Amino acid sequence: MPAISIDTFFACSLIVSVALLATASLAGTMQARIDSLQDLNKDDYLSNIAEHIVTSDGTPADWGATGTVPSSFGLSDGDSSYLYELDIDKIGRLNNQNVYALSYFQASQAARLNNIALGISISQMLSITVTLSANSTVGDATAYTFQVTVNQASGPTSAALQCYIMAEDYLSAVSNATTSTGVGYITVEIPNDSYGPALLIVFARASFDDRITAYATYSFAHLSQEPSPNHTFLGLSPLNYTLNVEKKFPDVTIEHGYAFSYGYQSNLTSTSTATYAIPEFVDKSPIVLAISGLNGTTSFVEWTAYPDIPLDFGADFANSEKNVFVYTVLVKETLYKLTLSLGDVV
Amino acid sequence: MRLLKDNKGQIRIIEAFFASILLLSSLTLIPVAEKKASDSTAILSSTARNILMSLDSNGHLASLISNESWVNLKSCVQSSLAPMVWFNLTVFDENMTPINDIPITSGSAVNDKTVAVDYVCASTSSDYAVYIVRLQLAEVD
Repeated sequence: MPAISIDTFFACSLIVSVALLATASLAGTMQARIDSLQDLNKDDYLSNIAEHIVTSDGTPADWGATGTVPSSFGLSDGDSSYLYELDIDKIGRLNNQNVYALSYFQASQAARLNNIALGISISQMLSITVTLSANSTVGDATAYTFQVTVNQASGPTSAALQCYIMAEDYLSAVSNATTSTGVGYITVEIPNDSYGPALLIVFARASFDDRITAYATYSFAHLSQEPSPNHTFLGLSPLNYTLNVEKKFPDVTIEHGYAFSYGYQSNLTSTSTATYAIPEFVDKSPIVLAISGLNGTTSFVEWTAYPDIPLDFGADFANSEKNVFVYTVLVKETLYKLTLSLGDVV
Repeated sequence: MRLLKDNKGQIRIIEAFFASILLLSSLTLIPVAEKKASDSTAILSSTARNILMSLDSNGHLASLISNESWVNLKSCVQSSLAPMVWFNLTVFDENMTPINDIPITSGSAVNDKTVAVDYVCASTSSDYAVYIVRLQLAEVD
């Protein structure tokens, strides 16, 4: 074979190899760019869906308060002049403890998200931890001391505390504040003849903004056996400033009902055998609704919040892609954090 | 001797070599796709807008500025953001002169990819002062 043929063969092989390599490299680069563009489109698409859910009223605009199933899904308060104010009842209907709650299927259908998983989580701007640190008998009463720790997103914060203690035929209020380390102490005295389950309701208001107000509850036994978990005896469903009470046992009788906010407390007024009117406090605070009663001879204190926050609704996204959009929102002039999670676009 | 004289094939190899270099070097002209930068920028801009609009309900933001409550303003922004987000807030008057005399920031910048959103608010007091609030956000790496 002549040398020129061998050289030509090598030259051709070299140019063909490089051309193949270049083509493969170009294809890889272009694929990455196409993927990147698709991801940008997807992020834009999901971001717009999230924005729509937060800022639109849905159809009908009052689907929260009326208890109807919406034909289009949106959480905004139509009567508000603020873009990011959510409707108190639309949020309540995402809580599965509420008898008016939407199912995931209904919400997903209304949001037209047939092929995208949806998760909605709303939390308070302050997290409150309550622990019983001491108790002692003082004459005819028992004194309980609670440690209250308040944190915001960046760490401990100083806050004003307003607490209510509710036991059998007994109700009192006490206030204090946390230091800059976020720790404060509350001492309450409960008469020994009011034995039974007791409920401590703690409201914390950030010192720098009164719209940042949160609550926490602490159930404990006062000279009795440990209280049953919340919602054992009653189903409590607040909607449109009316509390619907569903008795879970035939022997349940209701004795007292109260509404608490940071600045106010009030008795709940019965409007029928199973409903109570919720007072519209002019207060930048969530409302805690507590009911005490008896199941035969067993006394109980159960509660719910209005709006019913914190809540988690929808898909849990275990082992699947999750696109998260976080919003700071208002509900009745109180600030909360809304996290909207959307799955991958199929 | 015949092989040494017959150098036409060697020239082809040299030509092919140069052609290959030309072809490969042209690939470097294709820009690399930048994916993450655009994503996080859009999300941070949206977050900044949302925070400023929510904090300004009832004219609260303008009220804090009028009272020069810079520490409270910082706490408000800080409570709305995740700890892994850096922020810097500057308040300007209508002549774009900065008026916050202390820095309202979570520290020194830790990322070059910073987004800035301007928001205009007006005081509800009788002077109706107009403020421009610039919120810069960046993700902490």
